[in-house]
Amino acid sequence: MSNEMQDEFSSWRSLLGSRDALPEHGLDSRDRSWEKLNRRLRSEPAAGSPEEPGTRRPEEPRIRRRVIYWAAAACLLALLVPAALFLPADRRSPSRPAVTPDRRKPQPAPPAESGIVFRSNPPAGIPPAGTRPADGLFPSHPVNRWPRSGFGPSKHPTPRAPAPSPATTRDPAAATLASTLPSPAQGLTPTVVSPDSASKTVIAKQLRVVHINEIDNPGQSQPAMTSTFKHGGEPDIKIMILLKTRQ
Amino acid sequence: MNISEQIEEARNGDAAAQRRLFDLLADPMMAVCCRYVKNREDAEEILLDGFCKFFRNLKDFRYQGDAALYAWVKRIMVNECLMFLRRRPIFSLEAETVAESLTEEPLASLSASEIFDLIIRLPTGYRTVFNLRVIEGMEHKEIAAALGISEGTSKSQLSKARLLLQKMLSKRGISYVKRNAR
Repeated sequence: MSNEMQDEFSSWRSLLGSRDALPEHGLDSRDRSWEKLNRRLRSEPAAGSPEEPGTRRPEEPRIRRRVIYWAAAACLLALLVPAALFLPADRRSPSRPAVTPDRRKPQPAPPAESGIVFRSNPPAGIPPAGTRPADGLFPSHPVNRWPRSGFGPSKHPTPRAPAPSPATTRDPAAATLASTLPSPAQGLTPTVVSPDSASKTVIAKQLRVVHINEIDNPGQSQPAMTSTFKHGGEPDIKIMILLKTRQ
Repeated sequence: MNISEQIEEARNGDAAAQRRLFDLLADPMMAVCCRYVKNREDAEEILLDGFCKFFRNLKDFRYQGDAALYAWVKRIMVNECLMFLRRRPIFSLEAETVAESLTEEPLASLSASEIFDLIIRLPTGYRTVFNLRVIEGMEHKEIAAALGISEGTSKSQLSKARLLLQKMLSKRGISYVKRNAR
């Protein structure tokens, strides 16, 4: 198509492309246009002479605006720098609280099931609770000898951990609980978080344990499953054990 | 004084020589600017900007004949026109499918003034692409690069310009000459 177009309009191109094709579309006033051009070429318009209406000088207001911005910035700096230098240090930021050395308190550990929280006050050489490595990864690390506070009492207390002194407990209930629990590490203070949780623990301890040889005792209340064997005489103890384990 | 000497003096900053070159080239260049920009005031501004560039870059120009000088100045003016047009949102048209080629061609009997009148009545986008393609002889790839549009848009604009020109000529009672479809 492009070649077709070239051929098709070749006459138009030769007509309009020639130098003196359209003499009637020339400049209206060549002298006036030359004056404008000459002024632009010299790029120094006569002082005090009014600008031609058609003359474009867009850079002048831009420069003026830039000067105004710089002057404003300088004024702002001139105000702010002496204020920052000569104002007393304690009045510079009155709303800011004073920083004390003991400001950084450790995060409290989540409450344990037993109702006892060991305040993280680890002995020297043991990092804080949040930075302890995994037990499985570093079994020989001293941190891993420190009992965890979030999962209740350990079933296998280590003989290395000494028992807490009664003086460290703040509550008699806490002291009772602490005596029932395996002894925490040195420096950990057991405290009761709430009385409800402590009572729950006590109730759990008071639950009656039914032994196998007590099943047949009529004076005591028996579980429903075991009472069905009453009519058949002596229940087989092996069946009873199986039933208990399935329950 | 021939043009080569005038160029040499204008290169050295001689205002009289510059004025003579301006007188020689201003009218044809104004016609070129008017072919791209409808408004005569805008066209004059573009012309003056173009002459500023011409005189400032004259030291890099090697005179090889009047035709070369004319072509160089015309190139400067066309570039100035395109820069002016690119500042306006006229080429925001999406590329459309190119209309099928016409099987007619315009009469060659039209005068330059009549052709100019037809071209100047085209919308800006059509007119610019038509001027660049038909009158300046640029390729669509060059036009696309110069105007910041796609090649498809350039083709589409040219095709629409041709259709519109055909309609305008029909209204004037100028018929097209049928030619065989290729």
